[in-house]
Amino acid sequence: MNSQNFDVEQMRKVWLEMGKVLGMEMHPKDPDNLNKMRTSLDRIRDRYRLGCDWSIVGAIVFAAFFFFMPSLKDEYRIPLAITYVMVMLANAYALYWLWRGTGKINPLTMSITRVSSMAKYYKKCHLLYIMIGFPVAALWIVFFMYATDRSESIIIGSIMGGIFGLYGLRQYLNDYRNLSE
Amino acid sequence: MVSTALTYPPATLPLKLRMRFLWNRMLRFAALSKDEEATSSYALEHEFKELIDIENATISRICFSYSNTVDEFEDLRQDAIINIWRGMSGFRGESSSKTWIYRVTVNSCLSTIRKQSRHKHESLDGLYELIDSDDSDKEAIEELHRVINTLDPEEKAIIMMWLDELSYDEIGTAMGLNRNTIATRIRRIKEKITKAYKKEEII
Repeated sequence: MNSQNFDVEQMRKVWLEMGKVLGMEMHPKDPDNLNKMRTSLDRIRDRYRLGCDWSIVGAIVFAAFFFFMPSLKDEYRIPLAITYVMVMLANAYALYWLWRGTGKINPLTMSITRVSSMAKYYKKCHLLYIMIGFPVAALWIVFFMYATDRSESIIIGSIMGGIFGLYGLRQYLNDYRNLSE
Repeated sequence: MVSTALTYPPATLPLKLRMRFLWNRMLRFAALSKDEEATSSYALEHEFKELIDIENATISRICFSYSNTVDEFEDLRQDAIINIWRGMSGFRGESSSKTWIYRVTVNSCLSTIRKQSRHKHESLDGLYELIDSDDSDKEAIEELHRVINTLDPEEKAIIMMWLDELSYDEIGTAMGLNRNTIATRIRRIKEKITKAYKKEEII
């Protein structure tokens, strides 16, 4: 379309044509199947909920594990157990908060502007969760490795892994910046 | 209409007969309720399928405009259909069906929280293979899609509704904004689109 001859009617014609060539059979599913299907939003909420539940279970079940692990030094057992439970419960809370918040998005009753602003907000929160959660988890793992084995090569390997991880984190930072613009 | 009032049998009847009377009354009530339920459920399904047939092109256009890959397009369409079905019983025709379809479909597209596709440029080619049209039309559609892609999600929704000749009031209802705001936004979007078309031409 020549921008010098750009006009509304031409654009509308192309727009309507788009509908015709894409208007494939929708195969409206049997409503019984539709009742069982989940949207992308439902699926991500299910993942948040599952992550929250498993974090709580993990915090309770594995905390005691640190008191019986043979390779751990005695002075690190209590700090490891405490930091582990704190990280897991913080993770559970963050996922619960995301699950509850995204549950407020109702595509059927809300206006487009409202859904757009809520979706943008929770996308940013999701990215923040990853940007904060992964480094915290990585730090705890380094602490754990330090407590089990004081081998320098493991610590150096962890630091190098962390540097590569930061490189990957840059992509999330870019996504966050794009959403903020 | 089934009377919901359960009239009690006379106390002079033996207990066994009174119990049987009440039991038969409850069974009749349940059977009639089921029939009514079945009839209204059938009507809803029929209405849903009719609505999808009529608005098929609109739903496809909206989902295509919000997609960058074929998978995204299929996912968004599926989400839209699921949400439209879920909303059928609540849709009582307060707004026109087109406005309602637009609101639900755009909201379905916006409410997905998914990873941004990293290699946008490559994946658009895959998406454009869905266009089943001759060369000149296909080129015009691709150009329009790329131009619309330069807008932010809310601007896309406004311009799509405007292209579909919805009134400013209808667009305002769907967006949750007043008429004057819509008019201002449409003016700004047209300026953006003109610049985007000029850029396309240069490329």
